[in-house]
Amino acid sequence: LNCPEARALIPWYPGPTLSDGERAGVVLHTVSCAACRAELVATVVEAEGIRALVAAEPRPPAALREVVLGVQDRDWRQAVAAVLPPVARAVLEPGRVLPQWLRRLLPA
Amino acid sequence: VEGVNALGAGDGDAALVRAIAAGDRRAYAAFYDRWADGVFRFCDLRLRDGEAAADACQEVLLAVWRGAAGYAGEGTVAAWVFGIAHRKVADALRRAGRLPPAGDPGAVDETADAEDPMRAADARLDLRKALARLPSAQQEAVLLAYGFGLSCAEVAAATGVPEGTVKSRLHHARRALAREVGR
Repeated sequence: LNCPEARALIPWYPGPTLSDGERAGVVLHTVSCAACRAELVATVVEAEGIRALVAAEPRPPAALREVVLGVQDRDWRQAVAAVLPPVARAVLEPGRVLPQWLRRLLPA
Repeated sequence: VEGVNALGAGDGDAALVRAIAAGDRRAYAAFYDRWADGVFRFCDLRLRDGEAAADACQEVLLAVWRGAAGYAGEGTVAAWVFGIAHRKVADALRRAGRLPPAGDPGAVDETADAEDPMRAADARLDLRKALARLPSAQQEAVLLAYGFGLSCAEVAAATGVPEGTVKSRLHHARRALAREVGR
């Protein structure tokens, strides 16, 4: 690689974009080019910094899981109830615990 | 969070999405547990408002449940999920008046300089502040590529622009970050 070619690849050195051959080419070039080596080091440091920033972010509120899975459960019950005969729909009302024989018949 | 791709997601996530499309609720719970952290952190970094981030995260994850059948499997699950997050965050920014109605990708977020004193002692403050000052599209590119480990093609797919645009955005973002943190 020459310098312009290396400079085009270096921003993508962190992450999965480059092929093994491209990564090797970048490293090989930086052995003999101090300017591109400095750029590569700065890029890796910068990417690590951004990654650490993301890792330091808070996790979602614990209640969010219950909310999302609750909405999904309601959606699922409505979708299943829509294809059941009317007499069977009552058992799918939100919050109702389904009998085991029925759970075996329904998709997971 | 580790970059989502660094989790070794790949085929496992695609199988989960196929199972979700078939109505498998356990697969959806597993998907939530794998992805909620990353999606929330992306939304929080973009919106800088925990409540709005939780709302956007909820919308993204429910869109996965409701739209799993629409995942064609042509791109990666990471590109698909962050594509949904990209649109939900853009909607939230627009509602908050932090993006112009046309969604100008170069628009600078005028609230970006707002300082959170609770983070003053954090060694990452400079980088965080510099990131917050970037134009929205550049901030998103650098977050997806470096923060979440997406490839150039995945960032392009998620944000709906050509790879050349992603490269340009990352280039400008890096130059601005280097200026800001005094590299």
